[in-house]
Amino acid sequence: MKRKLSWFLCGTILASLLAGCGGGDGSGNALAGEPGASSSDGEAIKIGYFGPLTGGTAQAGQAALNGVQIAVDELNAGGGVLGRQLEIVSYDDKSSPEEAVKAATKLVQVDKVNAIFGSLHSANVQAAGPVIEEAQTICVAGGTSPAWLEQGYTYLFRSISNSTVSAKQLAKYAADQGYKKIALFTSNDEYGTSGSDGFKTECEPYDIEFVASETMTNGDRDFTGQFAKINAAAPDAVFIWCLGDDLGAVTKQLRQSGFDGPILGSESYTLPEILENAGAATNGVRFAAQYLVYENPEDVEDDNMKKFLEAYMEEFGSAPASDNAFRAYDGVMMIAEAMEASGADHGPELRQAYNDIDGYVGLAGTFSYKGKNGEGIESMRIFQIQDGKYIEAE
Amino acid sequence: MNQIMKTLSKTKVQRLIALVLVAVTVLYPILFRESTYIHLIICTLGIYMIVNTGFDILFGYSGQISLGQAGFYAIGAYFSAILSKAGVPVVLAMLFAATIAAIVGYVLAIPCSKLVHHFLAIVTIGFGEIVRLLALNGPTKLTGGANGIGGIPPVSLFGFQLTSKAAYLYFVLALVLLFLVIKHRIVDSRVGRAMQAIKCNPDASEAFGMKLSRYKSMAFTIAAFYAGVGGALYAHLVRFISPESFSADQSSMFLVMILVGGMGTFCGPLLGSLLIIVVTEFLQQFGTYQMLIYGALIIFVLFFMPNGIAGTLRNKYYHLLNKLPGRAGKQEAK
Amino acid sequence: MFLQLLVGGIAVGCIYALIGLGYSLIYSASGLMSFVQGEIFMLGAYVAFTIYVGLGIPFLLAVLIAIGFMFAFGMLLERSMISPLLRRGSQQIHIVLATIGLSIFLKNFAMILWGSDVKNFPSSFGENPIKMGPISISPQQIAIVVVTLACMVLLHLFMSRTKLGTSLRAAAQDPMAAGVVGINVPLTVGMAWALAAALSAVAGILLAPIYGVYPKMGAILSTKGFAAAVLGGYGNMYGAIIGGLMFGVVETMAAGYLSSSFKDIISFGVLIVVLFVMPHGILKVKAD
Repeated sequence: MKRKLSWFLCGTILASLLAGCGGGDGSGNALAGEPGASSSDGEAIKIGYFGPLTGGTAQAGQAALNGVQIAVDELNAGGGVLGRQLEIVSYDDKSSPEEAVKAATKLVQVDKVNAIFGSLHSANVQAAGPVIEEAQTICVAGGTSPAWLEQGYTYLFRSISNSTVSAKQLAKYAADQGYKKIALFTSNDEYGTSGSDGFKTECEPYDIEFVASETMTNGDRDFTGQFAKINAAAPDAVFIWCLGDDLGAVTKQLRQSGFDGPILGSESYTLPEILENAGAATNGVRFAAQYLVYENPEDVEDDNMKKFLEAYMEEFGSAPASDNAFRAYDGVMMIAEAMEASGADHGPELRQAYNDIDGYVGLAGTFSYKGKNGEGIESMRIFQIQDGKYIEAE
Repeated sequence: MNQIMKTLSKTKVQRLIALVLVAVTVLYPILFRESTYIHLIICTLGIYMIVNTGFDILFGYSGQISLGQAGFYAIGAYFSAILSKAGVPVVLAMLFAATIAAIVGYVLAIPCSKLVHHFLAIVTIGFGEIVRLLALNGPTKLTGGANGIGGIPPVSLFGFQLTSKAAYLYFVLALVLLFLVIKHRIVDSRVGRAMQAIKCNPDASEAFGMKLSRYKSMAFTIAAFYAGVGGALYAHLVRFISPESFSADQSSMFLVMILVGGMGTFCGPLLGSLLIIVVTEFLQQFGTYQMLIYGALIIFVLFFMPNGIAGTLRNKYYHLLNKLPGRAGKQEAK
Repeated sequence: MFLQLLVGGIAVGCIYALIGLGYSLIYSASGLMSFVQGEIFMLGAYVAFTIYVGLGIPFLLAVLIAIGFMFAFGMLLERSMISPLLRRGSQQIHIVLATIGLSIFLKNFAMILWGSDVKNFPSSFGENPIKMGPISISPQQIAIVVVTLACMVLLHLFMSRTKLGTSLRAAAQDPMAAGVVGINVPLTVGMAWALAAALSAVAGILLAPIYGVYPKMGAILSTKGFAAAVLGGYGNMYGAIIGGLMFGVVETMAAGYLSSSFKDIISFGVLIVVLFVMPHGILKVKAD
């Protein structure tokens, strides 16, 4: 009897394992055969996406996926790429590096996608790096940390400028404005650390002293200790680098703690929710960004952006909740551009073609990848928030 | 080694090993259709099985809850990554990292052996957070801070580099087997029986002259070693680690796995790891809704299997399952 | 600076205490550990947000409705999930699993229903800080301290002066005997869960203007509230208050005088040391 039972149990394990494998294959619609099989004519070109669809940054991830959708719809309406239609395969990476590796592996191995956009989290991109490199599938990502393009990967690209660029602009701005004493307040994670490290390095040539350097944990809301220290140091300006969900509360509390000088901030200040949450506290915030997150297409001067926003609002009913939609759209459009330019739909040729993109005008500005190790754009503008409006700082 | 050989001679274990071998052979043609994805999933599964098997010794057999297993997992991953990048042979680095995790487990057990239930829960939560924050804020040169550590070398065995996932799969599976055998040995030994006795009735056990704190800290040390091995395996599988992978969510995932599977059983932790991994992968197709469904599913399963899968099956077929290898011993009165 | 830190520490400690009280109540009434308090806190804030900002109902009325709603939610949770599971023979530890499952469910439910962005909950007490000598206090912080104190006094009176309160304590000490003398034990246990949920909701509404309302808002606080409850002596109402204040002050002082990066390491370190010296928390549970 007991033998029967142990056989039964092990049988159950086996059966569920098989079911799991089957489920894995089925849900992704695996293509049998060689990786090159997808290049046969008439078959759809697959664009893979991995990014957060659940969890704290779900909305940013959804916005990015929507951006991919808009790009694919636009391309398909114009007759597709290389005469073939495009389709999207998307997976949730749950903002976790482990899940990102699984998602990327599934995209390249099971779904055999032609190119990937993802993820928004730099750590996730870095974790997926080896998989993507091995599969020789290009992956355009939206994370802003310089770190993942410094590892020597050749198939990774970035469709926005990295945080060093904004740090450089802000450092120059601070020096021009004559700020001598700056306090740093950054989140205790990859995003905050790469931002503050970049800023510190870029400030070196100028006569700038860091009078305080404080951190916070994502989700914390009591900064009494940190702000007391910052105020005691009497800085000319405070440099804030943390994620969008914290930024509203941080700005509000910093103002309440008595600091009313200028704030130099991360590009997350483009999010409409910050203005709404922090209200008047955002007066005097300066940040460097490629674009603003507009809520109304009428406010937009750039034609590309206007067209994109109109299409986005028609499809999804509201403006994007995050600028990641722009990053994703630019990424996919450039992948299509590279495919058309080279006639290749995957592999080293496509990589070469993407790397050769020079002077492509997207939502963020003009992209040129040649010889830049995966980075495509370096221009940025400095914006200032005044009475709930974004104005360009001189 | 001797002990393992001794165990191998036991028929139950022989049968189990035979089963696993048969399983692998049966699965061979399905698995090796050049699908790295499946290999990756099974590698992850193997890692979780090792961690949870060790966790079960602490939680299921010795009755001590831990919500900080990710801390030990992180110690294993970080030490193995740092050492192997410094040139130590990978297998040695893994062993060393797991030993460090075990030592930390032993030290943590000093305050923990006096604590029960929620007191233990919060201390282990605190421990997990402290480890993660140390990795984040500690010496950046060593831990890479928030950027983590990339470019971790793959495992090399007898001069062969296990770069492919398929090769790594065999390595992981071999370790799973090894650690299952070790657990079986521990649970069936005097130490294991003492742990279970203490779990059921600490006062009576003490009256019989057992040193509670000694056995409790032993359980902590063993579980920490298992988690350390798991963490090291993870580091060399993904070859990139950062503090984000070792959050409190990871700890509670271990807990969920072991509770869904059923604690204090041989199959429970294995079943739990398998189910949770298969279910999360399966739910990917539901996009934004997947975690909602996942949460609902946990509650749903509990309504039908109020004590986890193995636990409920065991209660129903108590007399049968009690004879399975590594039986949990007497179920407590609750 | 010391005074400023102390004030900030007390304000945040009050919140930990409120959430910790919820954990203690549940434990003393049913001996269970719940991991869904943080999500109840979040849900309370969302419900108040929806009624107050979305429907435009006056603040006080909105708050009362939200608290009532969460009270009912707590009762429903106990009646329709916890006690049926116990009846089906779940061990206590599997109730923990059920609450983990529920917390995952609720977090994602909120994310799908309201979105993952941070919603602005306007403060009804004004935004401008009040300056008192060297320190500045936000009106919301004062509200937190006052409301927390009021809740504690009310809870104390309820527990010691009302029939329902005394029967709750009786049921907690010895459910069997309480049943024999005619106390409706299931009702009182449900009541404890409901009160715990209502307290968490109060904390959620109080903090919403400072935190903003978003699905993850309960995640960190629930751990710290739990720490407060344990530190003070699990199951002891007054212990949760002491534990909460202590945790809040230690944390803020650590950030102010030592290092904000090591703030949580220090406060959890202190917690471990305290529990090492006093394994049952600061105030030992009387009915242990």
